[in-house]
Amino acid sequence: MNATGDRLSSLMERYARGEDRVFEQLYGLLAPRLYRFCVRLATSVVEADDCFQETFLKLHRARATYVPGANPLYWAFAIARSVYLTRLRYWRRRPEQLGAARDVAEVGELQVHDTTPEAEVAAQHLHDTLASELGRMSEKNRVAYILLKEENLSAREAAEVLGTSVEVVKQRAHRAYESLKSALSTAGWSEYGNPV
Amino acid sequence: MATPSERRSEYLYPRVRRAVESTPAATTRTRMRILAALAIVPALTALVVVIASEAVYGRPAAGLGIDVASAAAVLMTLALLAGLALASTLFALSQGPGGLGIASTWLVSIVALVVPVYAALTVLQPLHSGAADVGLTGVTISPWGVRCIFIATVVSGSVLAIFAVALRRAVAVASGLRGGALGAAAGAWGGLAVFAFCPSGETQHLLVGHVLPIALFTLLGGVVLSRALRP
Repeated sequence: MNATGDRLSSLMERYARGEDRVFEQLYGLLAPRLYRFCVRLATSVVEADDCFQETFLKLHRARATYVPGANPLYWAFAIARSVYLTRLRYWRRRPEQLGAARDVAEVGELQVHDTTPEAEVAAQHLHDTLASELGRMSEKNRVAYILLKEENLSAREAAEVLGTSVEVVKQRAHRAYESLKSALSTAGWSEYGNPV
Repeated sequence: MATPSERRSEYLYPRVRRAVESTPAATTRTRMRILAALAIVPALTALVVVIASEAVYGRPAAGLGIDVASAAAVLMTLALLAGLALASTLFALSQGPGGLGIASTWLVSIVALVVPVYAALTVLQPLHSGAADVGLTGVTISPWGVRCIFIATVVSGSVLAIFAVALRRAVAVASGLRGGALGAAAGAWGGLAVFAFCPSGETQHLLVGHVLPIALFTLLGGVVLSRALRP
């Protein structure tokens, strides 16, 4: 673990012992990446907000189960995915209530600096293509891709978070990558985000 | 400049804080609960065997003493079954170094192997001749192992409940598989109990009364425990 990881681990250990006053610092270190992960899992702001809040609540309730020295971020990712899957199962039983989902682009995940209007439109198109394809692919492939390519976990760490083997994680991430590459190509982009 | 995720998580902070403050959280560490479970389970199993065996056969651990051709073979099998129960329990309860449990391949191995290993140790080469089944002890032994099913259910059910309490909210990953592994481990303790309790050597009795409960508890753990184990 790096310095932030060590700090996070030490704060989580204190929080697990019942030191409620470290919550704010813990939240400050954990929340941004956890929220980004929830956004990528849920692909809608409303769902991501709910998933994020429920994850923190469960993390709080399960704090006594934290293993000293473990990376709290990976633990939080695993809880977030468990929360998301539970919500997914719930919504699948009640499909009539699906909908009202806004795309992640509405939160301003797209950041464009010092560019022309044409470049902004192009970037928006690229973002929409990626977000749409990520939302369309299976949850298993998507989450493997997110952990490996966006959160930069090693295949072994991702396998631990997902409760599966390293080979399976690599296969799922590769399938997601191929699917994104194909979607970009169809939309007129190279895999590196350049117009073809 | 703050990223969108940072801004959004800051915006959500007051709501999360309020929700957390109004939600109670357990303070007993999981490691303590696991250690307590490891101390209680063998004692409970031994207690049930002694009480049941005294009540039915008038002696403790009748399965280890009645109609036994080789005491060494019985002790060896007892040690292997105890090892099976203990090893499956340690693996199934392990939180792993990262707090996310041991690798899923180990859990799959426990789910898949406990029943066949138990059956191989106790059914393929029974340690009892079957004399007890035809009235050697003066106690009628059901060919369907009704008494053994009851004892296995009492032991395995209690052990499974203890495991559920020990790992409550502690399994964020593969909770169904972990539940199955805990069910198999609980079944192994039940199997150990009936091995020590029962002097039957009939294959049908051994399969239905001794092996079947382990398979059923493996299934039960996977189905029922998952929800209690998730954070």
